Amino acid sequence: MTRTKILICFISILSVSFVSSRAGAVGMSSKRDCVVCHIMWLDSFRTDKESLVPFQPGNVLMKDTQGVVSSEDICYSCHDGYVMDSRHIAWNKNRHPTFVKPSESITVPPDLPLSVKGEIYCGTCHSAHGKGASAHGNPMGRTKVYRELNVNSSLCEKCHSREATYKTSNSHPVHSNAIDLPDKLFELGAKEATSSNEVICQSCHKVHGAEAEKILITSNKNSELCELCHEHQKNIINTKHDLRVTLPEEKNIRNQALDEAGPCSACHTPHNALDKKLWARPVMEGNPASQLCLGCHGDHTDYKTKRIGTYSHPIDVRITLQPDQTIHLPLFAEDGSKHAEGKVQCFSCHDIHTWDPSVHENTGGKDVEGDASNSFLRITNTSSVLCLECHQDKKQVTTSDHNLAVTAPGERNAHGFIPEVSGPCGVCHVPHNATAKPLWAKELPGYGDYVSRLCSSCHEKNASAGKKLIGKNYHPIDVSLGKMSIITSLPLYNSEGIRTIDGKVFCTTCHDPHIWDPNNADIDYNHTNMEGDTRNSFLRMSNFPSSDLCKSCHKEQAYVDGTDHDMNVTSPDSRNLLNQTVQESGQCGACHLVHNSPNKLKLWARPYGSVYNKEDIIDSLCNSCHSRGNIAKNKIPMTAMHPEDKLVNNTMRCDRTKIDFAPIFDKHTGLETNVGNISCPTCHDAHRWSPLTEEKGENRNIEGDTTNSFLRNVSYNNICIDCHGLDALFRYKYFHDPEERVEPLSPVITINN
Amino acid sequence: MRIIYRQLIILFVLLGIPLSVSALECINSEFLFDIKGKINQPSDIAVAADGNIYFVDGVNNRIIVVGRDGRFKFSFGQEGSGKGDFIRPLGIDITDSGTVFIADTGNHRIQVFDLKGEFKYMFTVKSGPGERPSDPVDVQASSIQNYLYISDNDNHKIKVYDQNGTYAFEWGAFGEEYGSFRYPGMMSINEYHEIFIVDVLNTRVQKFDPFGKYITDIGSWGVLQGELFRPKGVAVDNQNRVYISDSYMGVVQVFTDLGRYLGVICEDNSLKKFEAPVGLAVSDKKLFIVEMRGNKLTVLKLSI
Repeated sequence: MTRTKILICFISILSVSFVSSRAGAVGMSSKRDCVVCHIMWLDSFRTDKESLVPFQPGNVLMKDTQGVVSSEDICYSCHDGYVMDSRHIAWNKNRHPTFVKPSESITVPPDLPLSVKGEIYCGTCHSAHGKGASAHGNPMGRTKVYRELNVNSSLCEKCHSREATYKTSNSHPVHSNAIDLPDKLFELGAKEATSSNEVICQSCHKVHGAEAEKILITSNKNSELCELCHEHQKNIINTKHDLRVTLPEEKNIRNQALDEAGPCSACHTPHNALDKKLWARPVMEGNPASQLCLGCHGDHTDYKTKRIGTYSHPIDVRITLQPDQTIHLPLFAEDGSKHAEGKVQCFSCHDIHTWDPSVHENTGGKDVEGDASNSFLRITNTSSVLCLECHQDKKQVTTSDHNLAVTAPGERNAHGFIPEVSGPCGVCHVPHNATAKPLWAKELPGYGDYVSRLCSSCHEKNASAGKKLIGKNYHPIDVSLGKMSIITSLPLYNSEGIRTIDGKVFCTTCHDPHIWDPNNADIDYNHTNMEGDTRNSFLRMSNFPSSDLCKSCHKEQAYVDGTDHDMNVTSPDSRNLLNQTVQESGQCGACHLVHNSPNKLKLWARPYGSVYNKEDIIDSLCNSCHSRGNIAKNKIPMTAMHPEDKLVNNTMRCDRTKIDFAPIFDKHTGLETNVGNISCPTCHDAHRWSPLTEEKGENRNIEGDTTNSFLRNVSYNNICIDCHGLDALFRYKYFHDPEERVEPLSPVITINN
Repeated sequence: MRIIYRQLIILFVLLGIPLSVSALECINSEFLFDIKGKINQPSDIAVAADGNIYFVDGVNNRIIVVGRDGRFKFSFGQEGSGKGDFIRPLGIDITDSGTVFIADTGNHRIQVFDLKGEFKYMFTVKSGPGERPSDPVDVQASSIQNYLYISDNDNHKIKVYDQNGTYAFEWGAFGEEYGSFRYPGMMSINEYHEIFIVDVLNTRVQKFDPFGKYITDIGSWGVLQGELFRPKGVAVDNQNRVYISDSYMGVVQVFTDLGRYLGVICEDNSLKKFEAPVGLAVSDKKLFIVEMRGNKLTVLKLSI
């Protein structure tokens, strides 16, 4: 080895030794301005003298750079008030976490550096050399020491991009101006965006000097911050929906306790919620809007909460508005957002943040049972205005006998509320936990058909409408019309009370319990028990002057109009058994009583006529009028009775649809039978003047002949000829009118046998 | 070979490879007590003639008064801009006669109180044309012409008013020259009415005569003994020794009034470290150190 080589070798070793012992000093600048921050570049460290602070070139926070450029102590040594006062901002109270690794939900872009350990540090956001730095050496300059200017929290959003794309991450909206941000928010330290009222990250958060945890501008342990903007929602405090009251141990999906995260946190979380509305509770499948409520109030949950029961108001349904109808309750689209043409959801009726819509200070309480005046309803419902907002066609009920606040103020529904508390609708219907399908609010009597049981809840002896009963003899119910070939526009119901086209007749076929007067919506009702007549009485259509309601089904009988049997024509002043004139009873009511008829047979509305022992009882109906002293006293056959012992076995003329129909009636019951005697209605159809024409009468009292006179059959093919041959008519006349025996009228066929 | 070895040894020496370590010049002290509590980044301190200690709890916008034994007596001030209110005050001085001057920094004014904290009067520290809003970070009263020296930190000037609030004169400009400043901070005065002013980013303390004429400076740029990196507080004892705190290095160093380094405050011959020491006061052989990041006031008994 030559001397030269040895020298080179030593110099190399020396160089390595020097560099390694001064590793941090490589590339150092002694320029004083730089060393204001880059302290490790100080020449003092290049001496052999002991420094008052250690030389720590290893204290490198940023990759591939040197020195304690961003050490907090360096920052503080100027920002302590003696160059710039940032004490109250950066070193006061709470600030953005540093020296922690970003969570998985955070994506830090490459231009915002992390420490060598991959941690967030001051220099991630700050740099004296960043955008907005003042010109070098300008003593009056002010440097925005951000790596990028944080205009409208744009720097925040570079890492918190997930939260910034709030629609997809279910986070609190930003860059929205849906709400007028209150002045108080800015007094507490919120940063105002360049566009007024625009929500930005710094509306709620303060990177430095935040009053509360999670760098919030103020404490939110009682949701005070939320309430600043969401002022209405603060009514939830101390209500049952303030879960601190009802479920104090409950935690949200982030496992946040209520006493730490505030009452709003029970249901909402501002960032990365599970669903719309910043939902912070488990999400149920299906109907997106109401599932928020059903998560706690559904039957499947384990919570000790109010349940809605088997029979509850339908949700996720559309409502059909009347042409001129507008509603002010919110409807919701499929995604749970408000939509004018959306569906009914829980939130349509409920404002879950306000217990009492009229008195917000009334927060109810844990053990307070709600009623129509509170219960988180959007509108006080003690007068049922909330129900009627949609159910406007039921509005008349409030001015009818069926408003039990007037007619039965002491009556209690199944929930124990009197009408004054439950509201008029609530007497019979409750939106949740009803006893039966039409949201029924009464205990159902344990007998009878379903629909009638609803009515019987009140219209029953000893019940609230015990004075309004239908008596022993009333129009048949629970009967199908099909076998009678009746087609009607009136509603028919199945056994479960659901309206079907092939259903049966029930009370509500003729009655709409919500509408007292079908033709007069603006009735002047003085809220007393009103006695009804055929024009009202909750009938679906008026039954006067024409009995249109009856005729909706009984179309064959409708031909009675204007005939001699229409009491409007022949005897308007006559009265039925209820002492009603035809004007009061309607056409049909003159002879038939739908309710409370003393007579079972044909619900006869008049006193039976005299019936002799040998006469059929069915004839007594005719005799009611066609007898001495009664209104048809001028229309009395001299001999009306077919010989008693001549029974007819009628098996051929009992088809109602055929022209030769000639019913035979049981002598004692008056019901149709096959074996019996001929009676008045065997030959007469009291509702039709002439079988030859399907026409109504002429509204005048006319004399009939053999082609009309309410005869069922004016042909020779009638029941008479079955026994009497073709001279039956002669014989008939012979027996009915003795005068006919003197001058027999042609054509008379004499049978010579 | 011997020649080569000799040359290498000489090279080692010339390149300055550390072969020796300088000794610590300790000025020993004894810890007496410290004052803690709900204090938020305090800055300056003054000791009244009666021994009561007044210190500025600036982020809490108040002045705290404790007895000579450190027990809390009272506080005054709250956030605001009215009389007796403060916005992050930084500096304090108390005259022998018991007038308390507060540099109400955020309100750009000086407020004057009595020893009980009763408001007496106040005046605004005005800014000249082209200047930034005044930034009074410290106030120092002098018996010479009743002067009140005010550090206008942002404008790099010392503004002098009389103690009634009448403007007198000012000096200073941004720069590194003698008499110029880069962020003047706390001040102290000696028995000769010479004023010592911390020049923060110039890493020195400048001494002026009562009328603003430069006399000398103390300290130099660095982190070795006798050097300053972030000087903040200054106090002068009755021996004309100048105590200078360095908030970054966390030490208090002592100099003669002409700038000769005397030593650094130690405890048991070990360097005494403080958490961002700022305001200082010396009284009756006690050194009062406000530790801004430590949120406390430390009281030491000096050995000198």
